[in-house]
Amino acid sequence: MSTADIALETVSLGKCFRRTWALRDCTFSLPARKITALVGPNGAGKTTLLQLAAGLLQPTAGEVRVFGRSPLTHPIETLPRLGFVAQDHPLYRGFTVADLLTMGRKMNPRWDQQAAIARLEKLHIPLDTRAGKLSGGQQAQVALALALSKRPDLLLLDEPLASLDPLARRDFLRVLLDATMEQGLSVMLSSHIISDLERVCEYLIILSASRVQLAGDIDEILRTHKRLIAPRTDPEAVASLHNVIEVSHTERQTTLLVRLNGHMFDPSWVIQDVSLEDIVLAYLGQSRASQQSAEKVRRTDARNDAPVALSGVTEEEEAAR
Amino acid sequence: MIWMTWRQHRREALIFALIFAAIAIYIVVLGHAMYDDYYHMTGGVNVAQCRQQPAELESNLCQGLIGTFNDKYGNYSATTQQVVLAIIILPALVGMFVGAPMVSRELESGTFRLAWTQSVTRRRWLLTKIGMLAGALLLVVAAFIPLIFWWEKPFALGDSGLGSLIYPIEGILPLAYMLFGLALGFAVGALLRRTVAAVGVTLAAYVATALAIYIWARPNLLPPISTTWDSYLTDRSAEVSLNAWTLYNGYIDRAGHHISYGEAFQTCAPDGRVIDGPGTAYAACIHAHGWLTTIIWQPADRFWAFQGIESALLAALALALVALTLWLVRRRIV
Repeated sequence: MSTADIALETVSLGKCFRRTWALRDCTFSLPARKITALVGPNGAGKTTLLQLAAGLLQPTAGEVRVFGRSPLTHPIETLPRLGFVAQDHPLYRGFTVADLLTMGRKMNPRWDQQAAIARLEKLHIPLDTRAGKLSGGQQAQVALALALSKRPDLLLLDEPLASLDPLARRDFLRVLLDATMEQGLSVMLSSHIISDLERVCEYLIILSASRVQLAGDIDEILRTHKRLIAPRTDPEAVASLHNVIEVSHTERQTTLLVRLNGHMFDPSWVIQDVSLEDIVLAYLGQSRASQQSAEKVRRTDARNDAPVALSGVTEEEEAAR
Repeated sequence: MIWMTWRQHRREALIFALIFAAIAIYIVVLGHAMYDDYYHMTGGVNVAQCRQQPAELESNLCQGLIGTFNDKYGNYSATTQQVVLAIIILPALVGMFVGAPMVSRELESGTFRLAWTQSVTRRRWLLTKIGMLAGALLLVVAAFIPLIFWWEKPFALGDSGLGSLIYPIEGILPLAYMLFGLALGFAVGALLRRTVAAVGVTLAAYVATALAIYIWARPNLLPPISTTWDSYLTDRSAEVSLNAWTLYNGYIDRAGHHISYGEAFQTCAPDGRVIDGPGTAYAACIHAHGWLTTIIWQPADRFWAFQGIESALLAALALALVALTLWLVRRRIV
């Protein structure tokens, strides 16, 4: 990927709150003009990562760059290109919706007032109501409308679907998809459920236990991850060639979830496709297991936990470093 | 940002505009009643004439008139105390209810995540708000400067000065205290991140600073003049200029210890009858103890120098507090 195609890039990014690492060794490159899903369990560091990208947090380690620049040291260049909606979608409660739109217009050079009004009218949100009087879902919609009407190049959304009903979710995801295609918008949105996002997202980051477990193009993730089934056996031979994410044995058979490095020639294994949800769950299970073993062994070498790099960072690039 | 500042602070602006207007109206009404009395003729003379003609100051009629007038309107009258109190607590109120909540309220409600992800940088967000709030307040307070001088003129004549009760509300000092109170609120709010705590700490810090300035800083803004003489041999009290701010008036011994008049009276005039002056028995006793009369004082003509130094001190403090706020908002918060 050339720099123009990278919306967001992190290098060994880490954030520590009072001796607890909320995010560690986070390295990935987010492709522009695509919707990226940031998934992981509660407390995985999703909010920390999004706030670091929005320039609301100062990194403890490493770097975060939005279109090549740090949002904290180059706010004049990056802020107009960034849209951010926090998890609790904060609004000034005493402001009317119209006041909030005026705020957006006065504070953003690329503001699209017509789009903002049209969007809120379509959602039947009255402009003369105070934000504090709106329902939770309406407040979320207003916050999203503010971020969208800013016409950012990168939109960062923290759990945007949580406050929306299923119909509103589908509608909102469609709006995002249109914006990526028509205006070249890049989106990163966090969620702890993947099923909603599979249809619209092209890129996936799995975050767990404060670390990136997987970052890559979803098509490629689906292509390279397979389920292997064979009569009960030791998976060592497979593990020497491919990355085994998950192993499960029954009395008679062994099932593996692997990331293939190249082709799989061993005819003793039956190869099946896996759903994205299963892949996510496998990675989350793996990170939990490695976290537990890490606590037992007290490993000092952090490299063992380095994220599995997929198309985001290719092997050549990694070697070039 | 200008619209945003107005929209977010218009309620406070309205409330403080009403408070300022109420104080101004009170001063004007009080001043009118006072000037009526000032020029009211009693027995062919009024307070204004008594004040302007030193010869008549000696007359019983004039002394009575001035005494009554000063009791009613003077430096230590209830009305003056009310006006001074109302004006000196204003910067604390502004710091508590405009300054302290500005950053802390955004942090508490989470709206900083909305405000600081618009296209406006935090530096501009903060400096625009501070600039507009400080500018508006300074304009209003500046309008009080001539009002205060007009109001205090009839009674402040013989008793004005650096040490007086009304000194902190005279001249440019109210501007400096207003800037300081506001900046203190900003910094405390950004530091504590909790509005209620910030309001309380702002008040405490303001009162502590104002007291520290009053007790320690103001008497020594310029080195005071010390006039010392042996009262048995001479009397140099005339060297102390009219309306001077007296910091110490008493005796010192050879080691430099202070001896109050009370102690001296007990020693040298146990019967309570003191006739002082060169050559008197009392002065001879003082002389025998090796005590020297000492007056430590600040001349009244240092008024504007003192105003300038104290204002510069407060403005520098305010600037440092604004710089601290800016650093906290840009680099340290969350």
